[in-house]
Amino acid sequence: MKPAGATPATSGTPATAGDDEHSRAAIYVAVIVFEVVTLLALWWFQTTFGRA
Amino acid sequence: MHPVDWFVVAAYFAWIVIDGVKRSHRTNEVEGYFLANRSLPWWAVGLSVMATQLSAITLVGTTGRGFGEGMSVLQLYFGLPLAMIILSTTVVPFFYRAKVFTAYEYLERRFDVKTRTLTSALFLLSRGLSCGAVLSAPSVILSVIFGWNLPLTVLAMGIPAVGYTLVGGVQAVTWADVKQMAVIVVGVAAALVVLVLGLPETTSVGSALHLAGATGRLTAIDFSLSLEKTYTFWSGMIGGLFLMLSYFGCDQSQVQRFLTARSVDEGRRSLLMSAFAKIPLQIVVPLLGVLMFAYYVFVPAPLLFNGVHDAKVRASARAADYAAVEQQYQQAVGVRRAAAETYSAARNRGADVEADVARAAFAAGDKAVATARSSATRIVRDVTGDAAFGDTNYVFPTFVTTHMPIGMVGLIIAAIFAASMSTVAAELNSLATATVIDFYRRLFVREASDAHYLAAAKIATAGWGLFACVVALFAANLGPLIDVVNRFGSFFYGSILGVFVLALGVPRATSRGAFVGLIAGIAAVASVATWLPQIAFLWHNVVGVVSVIVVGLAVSAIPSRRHD
Repeated sequence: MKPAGATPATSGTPATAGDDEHSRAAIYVAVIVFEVVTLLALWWFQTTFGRA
Repeated sequence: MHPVDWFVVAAYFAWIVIDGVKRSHRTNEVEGYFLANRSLPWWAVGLSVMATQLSAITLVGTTGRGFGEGMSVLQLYFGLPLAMIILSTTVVPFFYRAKVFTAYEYLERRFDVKTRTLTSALFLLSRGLSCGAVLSAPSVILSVIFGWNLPLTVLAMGIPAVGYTLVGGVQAVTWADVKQMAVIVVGVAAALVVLVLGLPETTSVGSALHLAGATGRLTAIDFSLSLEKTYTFWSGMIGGLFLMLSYFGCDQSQVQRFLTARSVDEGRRSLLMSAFAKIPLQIVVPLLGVLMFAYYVFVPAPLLFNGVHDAKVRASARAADYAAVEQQYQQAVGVRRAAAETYSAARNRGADVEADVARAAFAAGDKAVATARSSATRIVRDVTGDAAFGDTNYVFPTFVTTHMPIGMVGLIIAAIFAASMSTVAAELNSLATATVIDFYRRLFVREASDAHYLAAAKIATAGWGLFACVVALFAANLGPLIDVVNRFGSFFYGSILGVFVLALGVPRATSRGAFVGLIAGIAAVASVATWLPQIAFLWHNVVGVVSVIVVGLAVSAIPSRRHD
């Protein structure tokens, strides 16, 4: 585990566990946003072309 | 079929089998044969995950459902993206780092051999039977449409799938899945284009969708709170979530896919690919059915798409009843078509009031058509004794063979074969893996060479292939059996998920608690299915998970009598 107050040398490493977690979290948020947008699009589709 | 179509189908078979085997490397080692030495890229694994789930039953049955009922079936997948996120953060890193071959192997490390053996046995039983059903359903449909010999059709799909799975293991399965997914997507896109271009010049796609919408077929989101409706927003979001968690996270046929990825992160990405792509793909499949409905408003369609049953009924004692229904049907079809043409013309002129009246007349005409079709289906069930007969399964193949251009017929038939074979091959591969790893190596021959276990895996693949073909032939002759098999499988999904929740998320759960919980979960689902049959099957998954966790925790809290 990285100690608190990591040195500049360690914080300058190209990819850290923190970066990975951030990018994974961004993908998970993207999945949820994509589903919400898809459901809204479906709702628009069914109300536009569905029963009057 | 035209020789060009035969050529396309033959080319598909050659491509799948030869390239699948060619791409298999180091399959002389157990890890290579079962897990591809954890070397596969995420996109190939992701396509394999999707191809395994999308069987021919899904492709043909869902387009048929889109034709008959509309897009409500889509709601089944609403819980999938969330399930993929949960699995990516829990099960994927857990199983991958545990270096297991099967999901059930982990249950022995966490609980005991009894729990591992029972869950693996339940998987073998339900997946083995379902493999037969996956082979049977499209074989029956294709043999009816083309007049092919049924056992030969089963073998035409079964033998190549067993062949490349047996020779190339999981690598052959995955690379074949990638190609099969491409064939399916191209086939579906081709059918979509033909349908849109086949609409009358006076009817735009918008008008066709408005007509389908007037019949309720475009209802893709239903917020009804009824537990009796199979597909609602809630059953999909909650029941579907548990179903997907169990299927993708605890079923060896899917777990084995992400275990072949190059890293934990690539395993995650393979599942997240479905999280993005699955709902859009599942929108297109029933939409194809909806567009077929619109197409057949303007093009003459038979009362029954299953020509074999049609001929049987005409030659039976119920022929007069059937003729009367057919007369009603033709009348209703005429009324519906006239209303559709009036609607299109009014809409083109911008006469909104006239269009609304015509749209209402169209919906009424469609109800009369649906009533006639239901009567015809009831007569078929009476005459043939096939209580599970559903004519909508024959709509898509009939459309393909009668209205698609030469060459495309072969492409769609190849896509139906691809959908079936991709699922069967992945299931055979996982059945062989669980048989060898969870039973043969664990209980019978614990120390042997890789060559020995590989031989056992190949025998198991061939054995399960034979079992699936035999089940497929029996299922074809006993129509309702497929229904029974599907229901039988749904008894276990939630309960098996419950055991994995106890294993991964509840440190104080004991092996006794997990085992008793599993049995209680299966019993609870069986009880609900028997005594409350009106409860939609997606809720069975919730009942199973909750029962296993509650009983498992309660039994775990009881102190053991042994003081060791």
